[in-house]
Amino acid sequence: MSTEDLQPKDTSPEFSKRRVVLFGKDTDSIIKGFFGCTATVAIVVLFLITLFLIKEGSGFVGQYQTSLKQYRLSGLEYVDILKERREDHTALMQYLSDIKAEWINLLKKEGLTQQAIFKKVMSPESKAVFLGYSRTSSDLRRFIKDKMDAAIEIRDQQITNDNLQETLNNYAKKITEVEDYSFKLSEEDRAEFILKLKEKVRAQSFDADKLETSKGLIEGLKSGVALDTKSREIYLSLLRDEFLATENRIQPVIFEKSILKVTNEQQRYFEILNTLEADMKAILLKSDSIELDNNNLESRMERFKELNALFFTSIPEHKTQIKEWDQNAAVPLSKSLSSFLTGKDWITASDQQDWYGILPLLCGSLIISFVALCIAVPLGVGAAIYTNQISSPLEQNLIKPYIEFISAVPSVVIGFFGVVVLGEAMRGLSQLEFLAWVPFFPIQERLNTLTAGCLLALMAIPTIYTLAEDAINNIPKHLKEASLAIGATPLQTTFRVIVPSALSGIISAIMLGFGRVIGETMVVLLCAGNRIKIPEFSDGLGVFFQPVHTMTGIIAQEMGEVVRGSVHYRALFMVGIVLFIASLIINVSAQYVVKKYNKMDS
Amino acid sequence: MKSDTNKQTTHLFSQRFSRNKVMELSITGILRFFTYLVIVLAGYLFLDITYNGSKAVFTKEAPFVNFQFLTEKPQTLHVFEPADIDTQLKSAKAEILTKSIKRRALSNSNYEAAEAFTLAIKDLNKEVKELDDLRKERRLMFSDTEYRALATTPSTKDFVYSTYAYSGGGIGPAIIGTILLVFGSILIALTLGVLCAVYLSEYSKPGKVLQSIRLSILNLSGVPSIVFGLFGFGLFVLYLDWGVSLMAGWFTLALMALPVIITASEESMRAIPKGFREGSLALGASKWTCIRTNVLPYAMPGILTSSIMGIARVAGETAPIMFTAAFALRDRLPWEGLENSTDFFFQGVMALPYHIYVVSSKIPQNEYTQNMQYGTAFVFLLIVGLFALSSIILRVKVRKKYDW
Repeated sequence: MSTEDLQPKDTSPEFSKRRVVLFGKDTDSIIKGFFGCTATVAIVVLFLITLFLIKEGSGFVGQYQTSLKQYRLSGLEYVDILKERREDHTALMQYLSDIKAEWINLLKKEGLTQQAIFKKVMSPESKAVFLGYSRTSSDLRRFIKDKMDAAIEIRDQQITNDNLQETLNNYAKKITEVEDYSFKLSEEDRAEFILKLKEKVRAQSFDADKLETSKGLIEGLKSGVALDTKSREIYLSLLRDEFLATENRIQPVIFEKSILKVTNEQQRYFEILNTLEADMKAILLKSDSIELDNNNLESRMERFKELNALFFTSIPEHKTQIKEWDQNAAVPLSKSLSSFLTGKDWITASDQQDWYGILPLLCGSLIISFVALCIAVPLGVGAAIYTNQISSPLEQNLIKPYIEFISAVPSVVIGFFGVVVLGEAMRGLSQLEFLAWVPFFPIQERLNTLTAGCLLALMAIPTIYTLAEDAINNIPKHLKEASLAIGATPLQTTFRVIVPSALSGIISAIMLGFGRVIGETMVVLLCAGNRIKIPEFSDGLGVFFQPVHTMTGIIAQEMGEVVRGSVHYRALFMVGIVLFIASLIINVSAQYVVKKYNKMDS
Repeated sequence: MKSDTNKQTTHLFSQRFSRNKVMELSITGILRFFTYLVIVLAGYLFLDITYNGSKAVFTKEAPFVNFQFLTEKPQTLHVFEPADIDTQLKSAKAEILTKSIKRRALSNSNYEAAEAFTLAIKDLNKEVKELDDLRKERRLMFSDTEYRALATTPSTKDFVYSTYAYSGGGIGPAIIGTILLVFGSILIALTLGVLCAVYLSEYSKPGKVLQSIRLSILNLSGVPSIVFGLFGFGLFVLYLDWGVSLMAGWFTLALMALPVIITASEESMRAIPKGFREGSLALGASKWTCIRTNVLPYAMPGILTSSIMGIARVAGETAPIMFTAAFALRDRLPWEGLENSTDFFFQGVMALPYHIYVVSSKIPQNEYTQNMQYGTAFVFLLIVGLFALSSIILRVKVRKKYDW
């Protein structure tokens, strides 16, 4: 060994490289900062979504309140109260004509000829009842129509005024802008200026001297000359003219006065109601003379009379309601929110009053989710139990990826399949003769709750399956082994040991499946039938064959055609917020269920 | 004697059919039935779309792929059906209808007469089928460009003329639009998502804040896609005034995929054992070197899986692009007729999912429109399915490879 070897080598050590320092930070903290920045950006942007939704949606409450105020001030609300009786009367008429139709059907079944039926149904007595009844309300209808027109006129005038006021404000803003000497014409202004000048020249509204200058000005403006003092004056005078003209077009609505056009003639209205009542009573007396010769029909006729009696008793109340109606009653802010959350109508772009009530959409979403979950839960959970506990490993290796693959099928493809295949198949099935005994068959609409529900079930199954299978898979082996060791059969083990211990996981899987179903858009947009109405639960099971509309569907359908910032636009954002909150609640509670279970286990 | 033979076969451990056994078997049967029901139903959907869609996409002759359908722009279809055959068909069908009504009327009373009607209807049905074949042979179909190029249009005396929107041509721009949308958005989402995940899992200090951020990101991944669409429409299209454009679509889709990618990438990074990091740090590596050499390579398969799943999700969504990026019809390809290069980012495109929505809701279903409908759905399903399949296969492989 030589001493040379012990000498330190001349090579520089590994760590000799100096650290790069920028702004007092070394590379590592710069990299950390970079990651931190991107993470912040991503997270902030994600939270922005929440903020933006709330920002756009929150304006709804105020705007809807204004709209409701106008509804009251213009007397449309008053007219709607008037309309209630008319609607009731129409319903009664409908009932009566149903009786008539049934009567004709019965007569046909009895084998009478067309002429004999006609003779019976069109006999003077029955004609007086059936036709006479529908004629009783003609005065009422005419009266209400007049009042409605008056109210709509007031409302429209108010809206025109609002629009004009906005134009006026724009002009005022422009004038102050132009008065400032640093003002420069933008391309848009230039075009507008030329247009207005040309109009004036054509209308010969200038004196000869000015006419010449303005003609010169037009040429100058076209070639892009900047504004000088003189032309500025001309521009200003033009703008002021416009301002005055617009101001003159505004005819302020004095609601206290104009409302009289709607609310006058109350006495006449009461008289109309009284004659209506008297006429109806007279006709009802006559109705005994019709020989229906059928117990069922006669009992329906009795029921009709009872309904009429109800109608009569409601009239005095109606009268006081009309008398007490107050145009100036306050519309509190909470009213607009509550009428959104509990409103039963979603009517947009109507000539009377737009209503934004979420109930029909919420009901539609819930009923479709209910149908979907009814199908998806047994199938999804059953398949999960089967693959994890019963099936052979080969089956397991095939089925698991297959069902996972289903979850990747785009929703629009499933919706398309529903329109083209399932909807048609369902209608075909319901029209088969040997299935005629099933109530509600044949179905009227091929696209209804059931169609959409079945397809959504197909979308929810993979979610439920995958999560439930995971939950079952995570059950400790020793539980199963202990159960088998004390002599339980495999199936007993599965249902009494494994499923109960995986229950929280399965429940959270079902909840997440629900979350997926309620947020699905394309399938419901294509296959739910899109009728905005609260489903009639009085139909029993028939409710599943009605077309509905959903929260997601309404956003997708109407978002494309709304004006930014309008009440409608904001109402759709409110629906979005409701969806957002619903999905958050579902997710959080699913996590809560799992967490609680885990604590119990440890 | 009979009881004797029975006794011989039943020994102590032989299978006996008790009530419990039957119960078990039937429950197993029900569960198996459920599982296979799901498989069969989904299989029917796949087969139906594949079978009908392949008629549009594949051809019987040489190249076997209908490139026209895959590359051309969608057009209106002009159909000329031979008038004489059309009237014959109509009368034959009317005949069948009247005969079947008559038969129903005397179905029970006069058996022989009813039988005669049935035979007549059978004959008529055969005739209708022949006529139909003839009609298919003699009818003329033109796409918009072909129709305009015609020197003389077929006379309306000999032909019944009808048009079907969107049903002619192909889906080229829609395929290109979808690819552009998916790649742009996934680029944005992956960059932001992976960087964010690295920070969250490696640099951030564990605590309540981190926990709540993680939880809220997880919750955001469950928010319905239409809400993202609403947000994108409000912010990008209206507020930032980008209009219906590729940019707006990219950002909307990216934001939708972001929570999924962050959560999945972070999870796959956290799954790497602590020892990997500690080993490299103990050797004096800096934090970044440790992440670069000992964390990211092992997390990469997991990130890749999640990102491919993200692609499948992004490509499959319709609701977010309905108002932000998609046009129902646009006859220019994205790179055609651009004045400025920035215009490329601010133009709307056609997209496959939106095209499916349009052709399945806006036009009637019949033999002429079916090709377009099924063809689009098939191509779309194929593209999304390939992504999803590769992600599933990758995941299975990764699970086997890295099992610590």
